[in-house]
Amino acid sequence: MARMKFLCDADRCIECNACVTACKNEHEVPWGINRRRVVTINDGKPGERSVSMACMHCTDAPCAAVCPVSCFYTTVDKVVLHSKDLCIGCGYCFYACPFGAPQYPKVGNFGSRGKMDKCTYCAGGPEADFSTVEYEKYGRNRLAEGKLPLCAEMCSTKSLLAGDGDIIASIYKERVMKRGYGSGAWGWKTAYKETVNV
Amino acid sequence: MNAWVKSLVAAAAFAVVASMPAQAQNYNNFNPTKESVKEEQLLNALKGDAHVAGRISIPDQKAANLIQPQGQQWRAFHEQRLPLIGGAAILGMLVALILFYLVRGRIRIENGFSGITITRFATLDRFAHWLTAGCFIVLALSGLNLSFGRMLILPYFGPESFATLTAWGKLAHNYLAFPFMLGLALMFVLWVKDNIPNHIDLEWMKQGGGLFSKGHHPPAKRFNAGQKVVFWIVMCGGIVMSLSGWFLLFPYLAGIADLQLYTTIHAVLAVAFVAAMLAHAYIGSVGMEGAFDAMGNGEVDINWAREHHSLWVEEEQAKARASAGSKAVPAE
Amino acid sequence: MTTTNEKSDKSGVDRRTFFRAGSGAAMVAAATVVGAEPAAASETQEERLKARYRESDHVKAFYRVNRY
Repeated sequence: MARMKFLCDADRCIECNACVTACKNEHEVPWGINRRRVVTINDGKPGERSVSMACMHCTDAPCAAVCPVSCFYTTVDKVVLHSKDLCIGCGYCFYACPFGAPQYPKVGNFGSRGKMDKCTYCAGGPEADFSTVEYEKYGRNRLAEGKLPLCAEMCSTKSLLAGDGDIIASIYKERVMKRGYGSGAWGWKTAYKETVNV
Repeated sequence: MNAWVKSLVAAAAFAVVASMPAQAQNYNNFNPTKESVKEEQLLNALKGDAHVAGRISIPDQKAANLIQPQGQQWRAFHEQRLPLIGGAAILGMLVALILFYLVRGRIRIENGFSGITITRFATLDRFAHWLTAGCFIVLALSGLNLSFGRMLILPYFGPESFATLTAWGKLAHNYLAFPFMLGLALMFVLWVKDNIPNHIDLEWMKQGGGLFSKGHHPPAKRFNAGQKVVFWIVMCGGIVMSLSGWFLLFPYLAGIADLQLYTTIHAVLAVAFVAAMLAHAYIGSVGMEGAFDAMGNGEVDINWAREHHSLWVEEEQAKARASAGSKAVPAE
Repeated sequence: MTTTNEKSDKSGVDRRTFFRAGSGAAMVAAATVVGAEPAAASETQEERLKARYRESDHVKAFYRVNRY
């Protein structure tokens, strides 16, 4: 069974934020919510690298472990999804998530949290595939269309990889062998408890 | 003039071209990984007390944290340690209370009910107490549900009903926090003057409050040392709960590391608080004959008061005599 | 102007208003969704978990161009 993963080849990322924009547009993500973001480390210094980060769809996901109402589920593709009908907006997943993936609209009492929103790996949610309800709550279901997350498909420098974990790991390995360097598969150890050894 | 400029440009161009091979040489030798940021190095350098952070171009600057490994510690605490702490505190207290009841039984009024009562708590006192207590019960149940409901009651309710219940619980928890804080403030103002520890409390403590020996009651004023302990537990606990809860009510005021700390403090203190209040509720109702009246209708039996608060009864009676005396003077 | 008209003509909750709705309103909405819809739109547990990923030509093309 294919295990879906994200891999950001930080040596290729030019911080163009096309992935962020593509994501926002594809799912009509509202203001203030970023399912994906690009962080630049060592900005302006030698060794500067940009990394595009979103929900990594962890193995043994921390969000799912701490959710008080157990609204998360992991599909056979190992995509971590959640039900907005069950979510109570408590923020526990945000405390536990190593990647800062869960996002909340500030709609609750006293400006606190509304229902959590996060990257769905373009795989919708617990509503029927391609239904309007699914699109309104979770966004497009590209995976069911036989496509991959738009952020990765959109990437101008082919830095962001998505798809079968084994295949994208082999692609990354090939690249590192060819060019002779690589700053590593960001977040993989934390998310998948393994990394790409080159 | 024009020709002069042209020759200058040409000279400059020549200079650039001449220097190019050297530059190209530089690029060939340039090793982009020499100072490349490797995630592992960053994580190792962290030693668990910072985040891998950088610069971000979206408005939410908090999103500049790329990886925060502390999330895993928070998860471990929430998943493994909190159920242990909570279970030990609350179940431990329940077991201790049951044992105490079996050994000591209900603490009776030695001389029985006299039928004569004395006012122990006025309406305002009782309002402050029950405002706080009522909020506390809902806050405690909704809080415990948030931490342990998934483990204990989700299997019986089903995900939809449980989520609805928990959502209402969260709303109640958010809103009742404010009357709870008001109750705390009110109780503090009303009772702090009678809750300053003094030498009588030392004696009371030495004798174990007479809890463990029948027919023995150390003297006490309005509040005995045990009640003073409850008062200060409620005040200190309540303040820390309120402060930590305040930041959780307004989650955009604090950073994620602070919020993790506040939830941890809030949770650990909450289970201890619940355990302490179980003991308080026990001794105020089932555990002691005549005690509930104090907060029930405010009138306690004079025999109960003489046994448990001997010095307070004397003071009250002295006051009553004095006011009766002073009233009597103009009448003469 | 035309776009705003189109928006307001659309029936049902649109995504942005869903997010903006107050938590109280959102809860009522959620409650009605829970109460009314499961049979119509929500997926069963099995449907939720089933594999959606396929190595379609589209996906194969993605893998191929990423090897460049």
